[in-house]
Amino acid sequence: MATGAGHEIVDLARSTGELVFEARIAGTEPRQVWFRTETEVQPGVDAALAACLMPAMRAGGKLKMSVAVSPRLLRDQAEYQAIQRAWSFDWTYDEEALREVEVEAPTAVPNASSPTGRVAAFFSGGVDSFAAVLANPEVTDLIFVRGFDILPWLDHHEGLADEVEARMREAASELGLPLHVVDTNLRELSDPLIRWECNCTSALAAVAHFLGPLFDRVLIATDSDHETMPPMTSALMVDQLWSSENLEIADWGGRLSREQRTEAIAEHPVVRRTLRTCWENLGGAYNCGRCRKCLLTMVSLEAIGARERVTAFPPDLDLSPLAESEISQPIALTLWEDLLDHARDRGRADLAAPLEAFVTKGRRTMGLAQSYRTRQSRHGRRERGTGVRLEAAEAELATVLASRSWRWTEPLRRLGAWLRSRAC
Amino acid sequence: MGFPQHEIANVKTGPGELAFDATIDGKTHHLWFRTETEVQPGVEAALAACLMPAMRSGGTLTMSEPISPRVLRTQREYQAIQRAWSLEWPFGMPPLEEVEVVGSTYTPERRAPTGRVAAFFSGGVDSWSTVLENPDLTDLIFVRGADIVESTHSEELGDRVEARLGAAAAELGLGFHVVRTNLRELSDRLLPWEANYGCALAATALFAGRAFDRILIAGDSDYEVQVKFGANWMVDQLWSTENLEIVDDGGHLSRMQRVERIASHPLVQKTLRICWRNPDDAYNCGHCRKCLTTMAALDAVDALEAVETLPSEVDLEALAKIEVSYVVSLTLWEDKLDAARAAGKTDLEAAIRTVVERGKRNIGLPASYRRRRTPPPPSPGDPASTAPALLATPETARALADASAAALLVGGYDGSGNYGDIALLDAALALLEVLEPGLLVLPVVERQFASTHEAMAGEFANPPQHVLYFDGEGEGGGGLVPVTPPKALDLGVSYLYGGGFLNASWGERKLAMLRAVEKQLAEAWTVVRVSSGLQVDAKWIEGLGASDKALLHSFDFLGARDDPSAAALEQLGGGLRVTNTGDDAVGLLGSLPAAEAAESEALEVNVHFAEHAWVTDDSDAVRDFDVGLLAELQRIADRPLRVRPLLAYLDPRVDERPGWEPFAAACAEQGIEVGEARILRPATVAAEAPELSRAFLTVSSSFHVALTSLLLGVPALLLRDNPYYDQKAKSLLTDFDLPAEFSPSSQDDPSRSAELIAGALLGDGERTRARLRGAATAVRRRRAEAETGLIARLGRGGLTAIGSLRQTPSGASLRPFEKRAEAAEERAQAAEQRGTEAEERSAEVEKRATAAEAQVNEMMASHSWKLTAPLRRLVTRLRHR
Repeated sequence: MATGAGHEIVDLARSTGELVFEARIAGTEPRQVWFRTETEVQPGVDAALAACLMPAMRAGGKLKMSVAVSPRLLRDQAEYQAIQRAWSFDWTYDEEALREVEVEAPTAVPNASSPTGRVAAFFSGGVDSFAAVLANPEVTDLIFVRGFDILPWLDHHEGLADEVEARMREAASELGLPLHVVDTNLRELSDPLIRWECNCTSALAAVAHFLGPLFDRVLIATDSDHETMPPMTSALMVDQLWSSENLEIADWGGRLSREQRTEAIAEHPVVRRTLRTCWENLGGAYNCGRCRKCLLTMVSLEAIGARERVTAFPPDLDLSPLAESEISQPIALTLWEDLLDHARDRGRADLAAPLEAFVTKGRRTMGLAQSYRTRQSRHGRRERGTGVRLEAAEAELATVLASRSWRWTEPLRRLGAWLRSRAC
Repeated sequence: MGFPQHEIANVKTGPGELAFDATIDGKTHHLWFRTETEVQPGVEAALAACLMPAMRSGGTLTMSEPISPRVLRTQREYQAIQRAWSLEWPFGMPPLEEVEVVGSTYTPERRAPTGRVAAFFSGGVDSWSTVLENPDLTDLIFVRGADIVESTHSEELGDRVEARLGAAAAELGLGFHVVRTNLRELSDRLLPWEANYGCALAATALFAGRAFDRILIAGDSDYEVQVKFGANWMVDQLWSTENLEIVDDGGHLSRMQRVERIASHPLVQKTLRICWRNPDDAYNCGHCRKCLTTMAALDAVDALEAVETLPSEVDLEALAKIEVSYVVSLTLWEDKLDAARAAGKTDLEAAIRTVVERGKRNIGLPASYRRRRTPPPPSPGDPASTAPALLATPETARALADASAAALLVGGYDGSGNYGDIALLDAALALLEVLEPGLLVLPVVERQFASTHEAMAGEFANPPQHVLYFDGEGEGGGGLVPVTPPKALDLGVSYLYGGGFLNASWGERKLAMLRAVEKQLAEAWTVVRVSSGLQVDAKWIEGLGASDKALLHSFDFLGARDDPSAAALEQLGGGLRVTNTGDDAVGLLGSLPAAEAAESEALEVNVHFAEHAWVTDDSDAVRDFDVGLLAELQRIADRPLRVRPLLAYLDPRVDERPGWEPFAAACAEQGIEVGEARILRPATVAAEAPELSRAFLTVSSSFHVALTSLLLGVPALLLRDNPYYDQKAKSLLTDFDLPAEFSPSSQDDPSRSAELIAGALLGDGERTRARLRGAATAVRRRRAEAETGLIARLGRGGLTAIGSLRQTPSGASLRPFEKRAEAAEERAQAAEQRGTEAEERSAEVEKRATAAEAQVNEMMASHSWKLTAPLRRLVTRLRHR
């Protein structure tokens, strides 16, 4: 464990619907971090630890907090850290690996509270969260976070949060589930230190603990399946390690690919009106219909003949922006490879052609052979060692070299060469 | 999902007992868990016991008893993860298939915590580490039926282990629970234990779970290097119920860290239990792979002697023979290698390195592979880390820096003007020519002989375009710059070509050169090490340190010049197979043009005489013997004898000519004519060959002069005044089927030797020559086969390098290439192109050879050739006169 850097969580204050603390994390200015909700809840303080841990792991060292946390969480966060650190060696962002942090905090005596009977799921209106909500009938509550995928400091997000919140409320109401809106500035702390892609589920775990006393279990919808999930964030359901004695935190979705999820939700009327995948929100659009994430979803929907009924997207599908874009991360390659397979399965050659060009370009960018396929369950196991053609070449070469004609004619060849040279 | 229907039925529970019938794949097993601990069993144990076996075929699994809702929910995720992992299992079986569990759930109640935390405890490194690292533990669980099973272990052994572990638990003040189960009767026929042990222990935890809040399962490796099976990345958490937390433990510590942390504990020293084989009911046998593995780890941290349950010394020879075929095992060995290096335990390090390097080859990983991202520790006094630098001209340094495939050659030639040594390198260069220009070929020579090397450059039949200079001091200057390990090398070849240098005189120096080569190839994606034509001093090899032995052992293709050398190299152990490749120079000298034996008045005798210290310590005696022998031959033959002096060593430092003045004078005294001295050089020997081949005999103090003569069909005797030359001479006698009199000593009676040789040559000389020609053909054929073996190994290495690059599969293993991803693809294509070109060249060579053969056959079969044979003989005879 690294020594040196000192981090601290101080001045933690909680009141109904609000948790505020100062995070003194090495490498960035001390910052007041807050979580707020209009829901009546006495916030769980474990949220503060979950909010600060990954940012602190950028430098390692020691993280102190004086407020008592769950013994189980204090125990398991060490494992969570060790796993994230090990995985960070494989992250493809050209950054140094994370370092473990020694957490120094008192532990609370866990109270054996009765189950609340309530199960919540995070709900952003995207494919993954809709799939989680619709596939888990035991979900009783939805949580929408302002400050994670919609950032108030981005010009083109101005006003967007209110619009999205309104539509999420409407959707939740139609689904018959209460929506809890949580507002937080956590990313002001974390973004300078750790990429959102690497930190997002930790941040969601923080929100889960903030609302934790309300629920027995909180589901975090993950973005890929167990077979193809790269070693980061919620892979292998490691967010379980954020669970406390009374709150189970569970990653959900690993059993389904994105294509399967899209297909599972596409015909739901609420989905058609509310589905939201855009992160770029060009021109403040709910879904811009041109960014890679929008196109990914729109092509999925198009392939199954459902796109036109999903009114949350612009009516026209234009794949030309793909020519200007590039895949550079394994997780994105998997999604587009799956989409290409999906289009082919549906006999949509018109979609498959541009997708194939896009995937081919991505493999080239990533230095992968064009024969490379991520999904082994569909395309067969990847060969270890030499490829088939090279194996054949090797076998052929070995056969030639080991042949009697080659071995036994050596003296004759020399003699022949000499004779020829004499002849010359 | 398929349609097999599996079932768990007839579930019976009672205090400390769970029994049920598991019908999996149509076969019913009666399974049970039993303990003397008063606990009401958790029926989820039955599901955990059967789930992975059922996943072998998929379908549905019906469970008659209601189970925990959480388990029913999360077992689906557990299955999905295991199925995804199984796509990459190295067990050679089809992937698992998910099973739909059909069953009901009970309504869970959140019970009051018991305050008890248990860990599984087998007495091994991992479980001891878990026990000592978790002070909140209150209880230990020993399972009879996990690593100790009735089918292979006696009841008595089980009792003894149980007693010892129970005593340890008592001393630790922890509760001790023994659970017996027969679950492996079901699972072993469907799954490897390595893939199922986590789930099986989770089943046992669920069986006894109501007595505890949390149960720890010790995993076997740390998060950085965990593989996709077993109790890894905490997946067994998914077996947790509403009231029992099941936890995989140990992922933050490597196996070596665990060994280091537990080894000094007195209870560990008394009870550590490793063995799964347990021959004769031994607690630990100390000899099996598992015992040796842990003993090596303990030894690396100086803790083995204190452990009473294991032998106090590691059998390094047995250790070096361990075969590794899984990455997970390779990683554990790599960690032990690091530890042994850091501790400066060179003998242990060498043995482990043998295991690691062979393991990489077994698995198909490149030599430069290292699982961990952290670099290996520096090794105190490691000869590799202090290997002197190699120097080169700036032009050569650039060529190496840009090369994607390079062969570095260490062998007999050191830059001096020795005929045989030049011929050895010449043959190696001719051999590698087939792989050029893709392969950059770099002989390593002594910097101190840089000027003589420059003088010798014109003496090669295949002059080297580039060389590297070896310098103990490692300083640049004089137009030479130190070279650094090239970063873009796909294929690095270390070729230890032939000669008689692996002995007390030159061996240490050549090994130092080899280490410098290793250092240069450190960044290569694939390293292939080949050798041929080595003459080895068995005693010197025997006395080598472990790291030197390991270095020689690391050669993929070891070729020796003679059988005793091959036997000496095979003593390096580890089942090493060494090929007798004969002398490398045959590759060059084997094609010299011989002339028909001449009818002449005088007996022509080729004589090589030298006074080098490595040939004899009494050059006067050699001269007296040689001249005495020649004089006696002249007398017996009753014909004048004419000596053709041959020089085999001539450069600005060493000159054999002065020794010839007294030799010629002595000959004159005996009435022997001495002709003009001829200098033998590979570049010109072909021109000399017809003349040499007309001799009646060659008398030599040089192995390669004698070899040249024998390949030309001229009988040769090689003096053997010391064991070094005795070995050389014997190899020639064996290869060319000559009687012992062709390897006399200067202490022998020259008259007697002359009598014997005259008897062999004068009476039936033509027959002797015919026999020699037959033997020479066999020697050439052996060399051709050796060349085939060498080229094939190099070809495979090259193709492996290409293959390794092309298969770079996932984001994870892409990591080493992220900086040069595009270049990797280009290089792969270039390498593939080179492979294709090599194949084409091979085909072209084959075609050319076939054409040559056809031409020879045609010529030999032609009437004109047959009819002109007497004419050719006549012309030859006239010319000689």
